[in-house]
Amino acid sequence: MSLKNARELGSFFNPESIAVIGVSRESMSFGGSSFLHHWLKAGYSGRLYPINPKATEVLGLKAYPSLRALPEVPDLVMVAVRADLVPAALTECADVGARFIHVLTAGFSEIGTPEGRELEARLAAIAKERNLRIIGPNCMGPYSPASHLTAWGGIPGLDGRLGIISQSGGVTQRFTEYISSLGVGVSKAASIGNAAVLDSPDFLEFMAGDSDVDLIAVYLESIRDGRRFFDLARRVTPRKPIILLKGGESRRGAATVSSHTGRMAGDPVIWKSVFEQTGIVPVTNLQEWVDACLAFSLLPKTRGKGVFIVGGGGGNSVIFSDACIRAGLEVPTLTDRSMGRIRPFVPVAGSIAGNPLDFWGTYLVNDFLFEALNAAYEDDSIHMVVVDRLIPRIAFHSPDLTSDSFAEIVEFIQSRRQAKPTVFTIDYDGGDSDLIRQGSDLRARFCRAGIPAYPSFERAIGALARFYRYCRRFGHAAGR
Amino acid sequence: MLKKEVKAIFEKSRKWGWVLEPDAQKILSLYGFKTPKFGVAATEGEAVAAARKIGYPVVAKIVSPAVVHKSDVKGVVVGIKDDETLVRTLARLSKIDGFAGMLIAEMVKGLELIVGAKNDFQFGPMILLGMGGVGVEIYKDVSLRMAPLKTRDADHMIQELAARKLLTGYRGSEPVNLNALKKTIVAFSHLMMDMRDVVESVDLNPVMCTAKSCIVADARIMLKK
Repeated sequence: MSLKNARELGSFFNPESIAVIGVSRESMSFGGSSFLHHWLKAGYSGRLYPINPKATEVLGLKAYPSLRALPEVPDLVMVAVRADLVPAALTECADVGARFIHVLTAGFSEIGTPEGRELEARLAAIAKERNLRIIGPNCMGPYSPASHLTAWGGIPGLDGRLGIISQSGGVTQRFTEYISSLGVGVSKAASIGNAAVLDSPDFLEFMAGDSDVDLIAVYLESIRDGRRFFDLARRVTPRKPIILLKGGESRRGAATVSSHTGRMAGDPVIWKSVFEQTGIVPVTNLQEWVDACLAFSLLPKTRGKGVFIVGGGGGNSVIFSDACIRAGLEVPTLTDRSMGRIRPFVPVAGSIAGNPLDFWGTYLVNDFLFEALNAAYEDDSIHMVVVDRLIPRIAFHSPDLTSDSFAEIVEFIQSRRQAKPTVFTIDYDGGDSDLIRQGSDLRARFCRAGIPAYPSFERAIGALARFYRYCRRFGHAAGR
Repeated sequence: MLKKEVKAIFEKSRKWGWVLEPDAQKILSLYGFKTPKFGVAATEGEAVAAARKIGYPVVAKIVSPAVVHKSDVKGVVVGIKDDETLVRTLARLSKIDGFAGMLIAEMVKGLELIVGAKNDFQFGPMILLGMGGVGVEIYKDVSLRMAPLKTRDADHMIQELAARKLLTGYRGSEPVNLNALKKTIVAFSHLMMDMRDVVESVDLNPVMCTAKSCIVADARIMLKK
């Protein structure tokens, strides 16, 4: 597929009209009806056409007996009928000239039977013969908050600059909910399922050329034309980072892949070399995926791997330093000039002026924190900053630590946006629901203000290490 | 584009699915790879003449469409120093299934590496670099990249090997010619791209590396079914 054709995939994400083949009159169970319900609820502004030969009205919408009976050719058709009825539905689409189709229905190659494979081959053959663009089968299809196309994924969702290509609707659901709640919005997500017609390289090519997408997050289990994906990714990564979560690395995982999307996972050693050669950023779980996307979405580029650690407690300083080194980053000694700026306000006993900066005052007095940050921003050996923050209730001997200081901190960091990547950690995942709430509120507040905040130092460092490696590789092209 | 001679070799090899070593060596030398001097003999007279021309010591190997893994049938004899041993070896090898001749080659020394290629079902031609001998079997000390490669890729592959110190000189051993090795890897990746429609996998094993050069001492080319 050439880029000219790739552009047309945009039609999936901003249709002015959608027909749904396979809606029941009563049931609101998962399928055509539940999609219609969610689109209505999301305030989808286009025209919705339920297709049901026996109904006159579905969910308050006028129902039509067939695509032929519609007053227009729908921009998008969703097919949610039984698997064996899908080929006829596709032929009907082609007959009326509807070319963009999402097949929700499962029961194709992923069920592992000759019938399933045969049915999928027929679907692909019809698509080829009649020039149809099909997402699926066995998938949740397109998602786009800007178009109120949010029948799944984070609901109501948040419009943003992230593009998502995924072989799992479930994983994408969690991912979009997670990252939207932190203020990083999604431009478009495609859940591609068995990818019998349109595959991940098609959507990669589309998102590469889509000016609304800055960062591409991919969940893949398998790929048909790995070579095309490889060649495309090599061209895309210098301009738009690709953060890829690859499922099916273990033998057990790979076996599960074939029953999930009917495909083969491929050799993990080969995928490793794909990441090496293309500069794709690999992650191994949902948390790393979100963490990296936060960093890549929000941070200015980094010019090196020197981390300045601001926090309190000797033990934390040691553990945090270890985490940096383990991740391939450095904790450089500050210059004499920086030390000269920090030393005056750091007590000699009970604190350590240096890197890490172990000084409780940074939790309590914003001016101390800001002076330390200013010193770090002007110190050539420092390239990134991690600031540890506490939830007020666990700042055990400092009852005057209140969350009021956060607004000022956010303002300070925002005013120095182009300085050096600066992230925060607010570390609580124990069982006290009140502390959990306080911790997640603080993190979300930072993130929504454009400052990545992580629930552990290790997760912050994992994201920064990936960000640094990307910036090192692509240099001037990276960051914002 | 494949050279005409190479196409002819693939055509003739199709009936047993892989390329016999003398033909594989021929392909490699056509593409500029360094290979050992060799001859193929079916009779005592031919064998002795070939060995004397190359110069003892030599290595003798079975050539048979029925034998893909030569060492499994004791079809490789190294360090043959005289006519008598050579003739005895020929007598034994000629009894092996499918005997089509005995390849007599110059003995080459050096650090043993494996350079391989595989046509992956999803990604196409991949190039492998690994330590030869027990290194590849026990330590799985290999590095993999998609073909075609640039010198920079070949360099990264070498850096990725756990045993890279053996290449750069360890405890007084002479470092191998890394430029020659990189050139070999890069050229091989291009050859694999050219052959990808017909070839399933290739093993250059071993590639003998010294301070001077890299010589492909054995090659097996498996064709696509």
